[in-house]
Amino acid sequence: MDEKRLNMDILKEVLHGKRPHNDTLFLKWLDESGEHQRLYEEALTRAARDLYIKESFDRKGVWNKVLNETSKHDRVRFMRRRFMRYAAVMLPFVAMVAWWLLNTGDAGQKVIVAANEDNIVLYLSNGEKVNISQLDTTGMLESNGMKIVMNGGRDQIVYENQNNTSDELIYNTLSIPTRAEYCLTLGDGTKVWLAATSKLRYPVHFVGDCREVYLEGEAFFDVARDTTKPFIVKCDDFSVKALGTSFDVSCYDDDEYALATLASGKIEVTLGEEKRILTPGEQAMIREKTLVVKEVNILPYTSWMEDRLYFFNEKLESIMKRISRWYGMEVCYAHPGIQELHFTGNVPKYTDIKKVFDMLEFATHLDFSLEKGKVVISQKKE
Amino acid sequence: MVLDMNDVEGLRQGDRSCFENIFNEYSPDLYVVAYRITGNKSMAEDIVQDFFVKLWVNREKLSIYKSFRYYCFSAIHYASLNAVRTKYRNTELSEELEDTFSIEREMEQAELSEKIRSALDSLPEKCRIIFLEACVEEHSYLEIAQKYDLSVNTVKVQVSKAYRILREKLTREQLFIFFLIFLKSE
Repeated sequence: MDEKRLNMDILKEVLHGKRPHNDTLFLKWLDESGEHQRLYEEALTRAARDLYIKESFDRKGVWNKVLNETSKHDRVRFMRRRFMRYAAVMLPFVAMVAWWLLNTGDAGQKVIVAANEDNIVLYLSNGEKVNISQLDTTGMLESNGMKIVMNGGRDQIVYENQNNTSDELIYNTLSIPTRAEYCLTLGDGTKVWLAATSKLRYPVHFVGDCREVYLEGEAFFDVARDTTKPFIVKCDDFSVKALGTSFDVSCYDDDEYALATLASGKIEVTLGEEKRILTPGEQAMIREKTLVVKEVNILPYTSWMEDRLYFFNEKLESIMKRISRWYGMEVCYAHPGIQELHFTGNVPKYTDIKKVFDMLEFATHLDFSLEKGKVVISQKKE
Repeated sequence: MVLDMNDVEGLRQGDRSCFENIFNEYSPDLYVVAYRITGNKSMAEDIVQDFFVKLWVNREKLSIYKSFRYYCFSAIHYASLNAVRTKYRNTELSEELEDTFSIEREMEQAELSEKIRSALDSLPEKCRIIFLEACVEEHSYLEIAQKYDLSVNTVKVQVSKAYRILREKLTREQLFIFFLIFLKSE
């Protein structure tokens, strides 16, 4: 048995090139029996037959079919990849549009349901604090004889000039809490939209050669034209002068910078000795005692008083500041760098804050978790 | 085999010329394996075609644990077995085919058949024709004798002459190969 295996091994070694075909041991093995001779010849025949089979192979034809099939597959794959690449590029836009579309459904829903207007406070010249919900059409008199009335069911505070109004310069201050805003008409007819968490100190009746108001926070001004009396908005360290024009001033003390954005007409922004004149569509940024003017999309600054807050390629930090000023909550970032992300879109103002965050989660790769008046923003987990 | 790993690496990276090199190098031997198992030209060609299409499609996921050659031979071996099983449901496959070792035998066989090619070419024409008809096409000696108007004995002599020459040629070729290896190792 062992001998036989050894013998077969010799044949294998020869056939597979490990031993020459004229190896003396092998030749001896061949001569041993006709059976050995037959096995060797059979192996050679088999090899020859393989060659013969090989001849029948239509290599070119098969290759062409392979080529055809694989390039069909490659085309599909290429299309799929190209689609994915486009999809990757388009995703932010799609998300943006989706955000936009999702949010347009409830437009015009300004049913002051959630607005906090009952807590808007008017400080009179004598320091008296009046909740504007207490004002009515019969009104109340200021010390200079000006009558403060509420028009059309709490919509507008109006200052009515009485016959006996004196020229004494006295100030009122209107203070807006979170989740509220207010449109105020000043004594000269100038309309001021005050944003949430803002304060405007203004003369009940403009006296002298200029109209000066003092702003903390954000307000949009539609100035009544009076070329003889420039209208000046004074903020902490800068002022904006206008004649007849509309513009937005944002100077929250918890913002890193203040902004003056011009919608129409002309304004002059003054920071210390520096004066810059803005044309419509321009924005002055005041940051650490420097003044920079650039062109911007003014929509976010001129339409916040409507039903939505708009953002245009804005830092998440400032987006969240505006959302939190309106909805009133604290904002925390789970990882540094998140607040630097920029987004475009808009959010509704008169809805549940939870819905706003759901929308933002849908449109971004961020996670918003709201707990006890505090929102924590983190990257979505994969 | 002249194929080097660069072609396999190139294939992985989607280089079509590497893929073509691999096809040209392997497809004839793989076809022989498929043909031997299925005994059918068009089945064997389909199996080879299918294998190469899959090889290209899955080139990035290619995992080779023995050698690329072994990978190809075993893929064809099993694909052919499956094809035969599907076609002849009730037929028992021979034990030899089911044996995994036969993949290695097939690989060795493929090498031997390449070696015998030039040896066959060097046979005198009459000798080669008779050898092919007798051994490869398996015609009987009598048939061949009648076809070429020869005696049966002449046919026998020619066949054994063919075997002798083949052995001699194979020896020479082998020596040549040894010589090459010797040169390389110098």
